[in-house]
Amino acid sequence: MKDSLKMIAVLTFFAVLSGGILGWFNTFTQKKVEENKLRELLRSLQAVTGMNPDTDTYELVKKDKDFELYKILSGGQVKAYAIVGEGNGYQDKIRLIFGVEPDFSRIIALKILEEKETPGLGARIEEEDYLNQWKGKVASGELRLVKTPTESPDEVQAISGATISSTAVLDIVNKSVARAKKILKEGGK
Amino acid sequence: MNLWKEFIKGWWKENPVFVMVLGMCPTLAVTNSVKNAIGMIGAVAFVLIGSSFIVSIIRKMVPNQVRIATFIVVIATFVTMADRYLAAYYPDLSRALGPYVPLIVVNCIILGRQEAFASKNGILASVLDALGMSIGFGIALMLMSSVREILGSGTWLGMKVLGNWYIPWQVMILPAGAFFVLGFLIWGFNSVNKAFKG
Repeated sequence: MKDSLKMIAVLTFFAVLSGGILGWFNTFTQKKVEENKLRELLRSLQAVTGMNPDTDTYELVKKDKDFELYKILSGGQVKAYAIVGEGNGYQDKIRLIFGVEPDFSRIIALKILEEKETPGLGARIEEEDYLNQWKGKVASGELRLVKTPTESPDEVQAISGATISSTAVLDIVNKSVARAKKILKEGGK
Repeated sequence: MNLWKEFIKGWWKENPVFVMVLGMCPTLAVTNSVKNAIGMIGAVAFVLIGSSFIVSIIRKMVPNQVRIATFIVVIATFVTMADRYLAAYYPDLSRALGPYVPLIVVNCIILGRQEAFASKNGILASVLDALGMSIGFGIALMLMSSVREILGSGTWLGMKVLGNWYIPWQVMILPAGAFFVLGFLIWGFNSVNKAFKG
């Protein structure tokens, strides 16, 4: 009886102590983590919409686990939308962000936020050569994947040897555009 | 001179990775670049030294039946601190290491040292033992990651070391490459150890 009481006392003591220390530690790391997240978001928004951090502001329109929609405002006018989308890649989730013109005519730029694709093949979706071709594509939600150099702005060229990753990125963009359009139509304007 | 022995045994003779073959999860998973390996070495060293220090202090008051549970609470506390610290001050590194920082909790090197050493020895010896094991772990991860990054990307810590003629041997930064390198290094370590014994 005495033994088991001691066991409970010791373990409880260390668990409480541990909780206390971590709670205290969290008070100053948590703030920093949130700052990092915010800075990261601002950097991504700038990269994909060309937003000017000094004069422009952004507003969150909708946030889900696999979807985020931001409105970039410049002097009260909508300058662009930024859309975060997520979907299954070859090995794990791919998460990306892209900016579109306010009338959804063109994609401004695209950036990959997270991917764990095969290095040298699928992971090339993070390379400049691939990402640059996204600039100026039509944001219709009906982009097509081609395996030859592209001829029209509604085509995106796949990376050779990485059809699955290329398709995944394309699907995420198409789906997210459709979703963003729907949300804005329903009055999220 | 006994303390000195406790300190250096982990470097080579009882190297936690190549001789005891413990802590395989980080050894295989995060050695695809030297930068990741350095982050992991730092985190493991912090957790190992901190836990050994605390465990050697509290060893007499912990009842035998709950010792493992208590050690795990101590280890988990240090791991969570390391994880939060990386997330706050090195967000890129934290993202690259992903789940492997929280997984240090179940790293056998750490619980192994508490069970085998810190719970039976004094503070100074335990800290030296932990420091030595951390160095051994560091040597192992630096060897693994250097080979893998140089062959797999042609770089070392992000600096180009092989010229443009070199076509990166991409398999080396994939999981398969980790097993190749680990196999060869364990072979090398044990051959040397055997040669010296015989």
